[in-house]
This record gives sequence, structure tokens and C-alpha cells, in this order.
Amino acid sequence: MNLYFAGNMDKKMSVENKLERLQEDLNDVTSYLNDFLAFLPSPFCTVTPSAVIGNLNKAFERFSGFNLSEALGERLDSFFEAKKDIADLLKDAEDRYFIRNREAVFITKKGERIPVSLSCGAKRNERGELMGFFLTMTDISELKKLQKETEKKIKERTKDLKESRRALLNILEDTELARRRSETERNKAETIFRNFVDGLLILNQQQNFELINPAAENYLNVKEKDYLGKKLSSLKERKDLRKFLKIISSDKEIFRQEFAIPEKELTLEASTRFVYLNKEQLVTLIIVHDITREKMVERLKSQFVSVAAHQLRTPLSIIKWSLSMLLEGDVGLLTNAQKDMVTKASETNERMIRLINDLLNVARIEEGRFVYHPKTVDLIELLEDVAEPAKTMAYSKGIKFEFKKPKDDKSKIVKVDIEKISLAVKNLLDNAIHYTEPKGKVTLIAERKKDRVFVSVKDSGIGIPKDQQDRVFSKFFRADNAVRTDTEGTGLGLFITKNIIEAHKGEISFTSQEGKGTMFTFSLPVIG
Amino acid sequence: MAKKILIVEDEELLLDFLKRKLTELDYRVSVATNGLEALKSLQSNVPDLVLLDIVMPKMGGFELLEKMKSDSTLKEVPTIIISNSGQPVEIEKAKKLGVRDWLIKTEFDPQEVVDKVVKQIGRASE
Repeated sequence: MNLYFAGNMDKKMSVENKLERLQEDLNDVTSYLNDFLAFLPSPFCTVTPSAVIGNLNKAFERFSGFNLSEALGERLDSFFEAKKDIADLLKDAEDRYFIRNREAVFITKKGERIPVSLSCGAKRNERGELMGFFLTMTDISELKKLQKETEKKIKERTKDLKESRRALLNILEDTELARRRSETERNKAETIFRNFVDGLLILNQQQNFELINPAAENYLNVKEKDYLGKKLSSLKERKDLRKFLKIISSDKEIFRQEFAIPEKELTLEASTRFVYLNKEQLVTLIIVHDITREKMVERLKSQFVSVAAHQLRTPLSIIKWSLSMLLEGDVGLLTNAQKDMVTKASETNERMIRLINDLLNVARIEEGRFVYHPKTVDLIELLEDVAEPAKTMAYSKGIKFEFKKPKDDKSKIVKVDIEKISLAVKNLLDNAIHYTEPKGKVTLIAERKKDRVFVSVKDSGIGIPKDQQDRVFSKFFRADNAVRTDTEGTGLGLFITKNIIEAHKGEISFTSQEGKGTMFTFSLPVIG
Repeated sequence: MAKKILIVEDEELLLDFLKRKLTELDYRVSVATNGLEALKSLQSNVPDLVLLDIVMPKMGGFELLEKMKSDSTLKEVPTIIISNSGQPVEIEKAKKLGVRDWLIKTEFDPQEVVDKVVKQIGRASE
């Protein structure tokens, strides 16, 4: 478009020429403008100051469904839903010259309601008088749809988030509840630990102290705060806890091992338990139990038995003496009947004396006062001494007696407490003779096998019933058939014998068949 | 002169028995019922043998033995203890204090007493 007035016009031109040229220019501009408007893809219209459609473009026609002739002259607001919006828009454009992106709803010829975004500008002349308005529209229905969808999505998302939040809060609540419950449990456990009567100590996997409860602190005279986190071996510095440390340092679980705290006059026993999880040892639980009172009661009981037995002996020895004198005729001759009676009384008295002695021995064993004085001795000689009176007793009952000595000349020297071992063998021999019928046989056998001497006492007596064999070494136990044979009998002999043999690091066992006989065997280590 | 024996025993009946038996065999017997009495008797009259019980009131057998040991005259007097328990510990202790022999109350009979007395000092009139 070549506009004349744009450039300098020739002064030589006539007024008519000038007018022509101007007219041409105007036509060009008009044409240009029309082409432009036709080309413009956005719906465009001009509006008069009285808010009536002045002009519109093809895009507007297409968009609205109205053609130019239908729309021209119509009020702008008749094309829109909210007339007030349009009035406001025009007023604002008038005030502010240009308004951008005002939303409204356009009603097409077909009656469709389409959300649009309006931009409106006011046109003024040089004098500032309002000439009209320009208006373009953008179909924002897609945008609106998107907006709506987005809003919907946001709503949904918000709803989801709200639910997630609620779920999280629930989880938090549950977690808190669980935490509180576990704390209560932990507190409960801790309360139990702290108040437990027994001493409790816990070592973790690394053998460091995790807990020492007040009872343990008291018993062992330690303070938890001094040893918490430290290794078990740090107790080494405490001389008074040496034995305790030794006991609990074993890799095996220990059960009730005694140790003493003399400074506190306590006797305690320690036990350990290993706590596992998935085959891995997690912690070691050490339990310290006070047995001072039990020990004292035990001691008192033993002392009582000791004293009682002691006191009983004197009268018994007097009775023994009296009966002896009577039998010897020291207080006058006795008739046969009298002699008989006195003899029986004497035998009964002897039984009493034996019982008292047995009780005393048992009390001493239990008290730990059954002291041993080992001496080096030839076991065969010892057995000969014990066998002598046994032989006499057997013969007087019509029982055969034999001492089978070893045939080899290997040493049978042992280191034993002579009195105690003699007592042990005597008990076995007494039993054998006691529970064998006349015409039976009792054999004492000794032989050396490897580095031990084996001593056996065999009899052809009443035997021990199978179902009672496991109790044979128990205190006061007497098998039924033994009781039937002889209603008296202490049931202490074998208990004492076993104790003696085991104190000498020997072993004792037996085989027996009811009605056939019994054989007790024990062995002792040979010295040299 | 017949040999003298001092019997120290707090149990009256037993004391009586022992005295009777030994007197029958012509020994001259004096008695004491506890260590204190025995000590007094010993100081005025030294016997040829002392038979003594261990457990006695006022002064027991061991204390008496110790006192005898520390006396120049008395330490030579043979002693035989009468033990109630017969525990080796007791016997050992007595041996250390110089006793020559021992009797166990619940085990000895009159004959054993006589045998042991005779073993130490011979018969009454030897």
C-alpha cells in the first residue's frame, strides 16, 4: 500500500488531484483494513459509543453464527449472558483506555453459550471524544474446560491428600500408641527389674554391662553407674568379687553356684542364662540369689543333729557299759533267761549307737565338716583290717566269707583317709552279711586295672528290686525287701559310703538281681 | 603300794562304773568331775595314770592336758582320754598333747579299759 499522504506530496498538484489522491489513499487504507480484519483470526468488532455493533470481521461471523447484516446495529450486550459485564467493560475501557482479558459468556446464534475472554479498547479522536470501542474475543471454552478439569483434579487431589493425611495421622496415632505401649512395657519390665528381690545384671553381646539392678548393687557392693557400659572383665579390680567373676565368666550357662561376700556376711548363688534371637546370643542375664538364710538354717540343722547325737552318746555308752558288766557277771551271776534278755538289750543298744554314729556322719557330710585326712596306704592292708571283723560276723551267721586278693604284685598304694574308707567298706560288708541268708556267701574282691584299684563286695543275698535301684544311695532309703528282712536299719550306710568314695574322687556302682544277689564296686586311683 | 589312778569324768554313772571296775582290780582310784577339780587333786596327789573325759564343765580335758604339759611333774604322768565322738581330729589333738591312748565312749567295754590301763602302767600291785 503506497500511501500518498505518508510522504511529501507534490506542491504542483492541483487541489482536485490532491483530493483524488487522498480518496485513493483512503480507499487503500479502508481496503487494507478490511483485508486485515478479514484475515484476523480472532473475532473482532467495533462498537459505537452507544454500545451498538458497528462492524465485525469474518471470524466474528463464524464464531457467533451471525452474519454482518444480522449483527450490525444490534446492541453489544445482547450477544452476552451478563449484560452488566458488558456495560462495566465498556465503561472501564472508556476510563482506562484498554481492558484486557475480561471474562464473559457469549451466546451464539445457535444458542450455544461459549465462555470468552474479551479485550476492549476505547477509540478517541484528536479532541479526546469517544469514537467507539474495539473488541476482540478469544474462545476460552477449551481453557475453561481445562480449568474445570484442573479444578476437578485439584479437588480430587486435595481429597486424596486429605485422605492420605488422615491415614498418615492415623498411622502416627497408632505409632504413638504402640510407642507408648512399648514404653509402658519397658517401664513395667524396668520396674520389675529394679524392684526384683534377686540381683539382676545384664550383659550385652559385647559383654558390656547394660543393667545392674539395685538388689545386685546391694549384694555385690557395686554401683550401676560405675560399671554401665564397661566390660564384665572390669570387675577384676574388685578382689572381693573374684569368685563371682570366675563363676560367671564361663561360656556355659551356670546354675546356682555358691559364692560368699564375707564383708557383708552374705552367701549368694549365681546363675546365668543366655538369651538368644535367631541363634545369635544377644544378652547374658546374671541372677544373684541370696541363700544366707538357707545356709544358716542348714547349718543350724546340722549343728542340732550334731549336738543331739553327741548328747545321746553318753547315755548310750553308759547303757553299753552296764549291760557289759551284767553279762560278765560283775554284778552277780545271771540266769540263762536273764542273760538272753540282756544280750538282746545289748544288741539293740549297739544298733542305737550305730544309728547315732551314722546320723552324725551324715550331718557332718552335709555341713562340710566331714574332714578327710588322706594318708598313703596299701589298700589291700586296709581291706584286710576291715575284713577281719566282717569275717567273724559272717561266720557267726553261717555265711561263707572270702577275701579275693589280687594275684599280681603291682602296687596298690592309694592316698586315702583310712578311717573313712574303712567305714565305707565296712558299710558294704555289713549290708552284704546282713541281707544274706545263712549258707550264703559274701566275697570281698580287690584287683588292679590300669591305674585304678577296683574293690567289690559281692553277696548271694536278697538283692535290690529293679524299680528301687535308682534310690539306693539316697538318704534314709531302704528297699521294701530289705525292710521285710530286717525292720531295723538306718538307710544311711550307702549314702555315707557313696559320699566317702566320691570325696576320694572314686566312683561307686552296683549290679543286683532280686533274690539272687548284689555286687557293689568302687574304684580308687593308685598312687605310684 | 598299789598304783593310783585319777578318773576325770563329769558323767556320774560312767564315773561310777570305771571306779568300780578299776577298784575291783585293786587300783587306788580317786575321782574328779571336771578339769578344775582334777587340777586341784593332781597338785596334792600325783597319780600313776589319769583317765580323762574331754567334754566337761568348768575346765575340759584339753585344757587340763595343756596345764599338765606345762607342769614339770605332771607332764610325765601317762594319760588316757575318753572321747565321746572318736573323731580323728580329736584324737590327733590329744596325741599332740601327749596322751598315750584313747577310749571311745560308745565303743569301749570294760575289758578294753582294763587292757589299756594295764598296757600303760601294768597291774595294780606290780
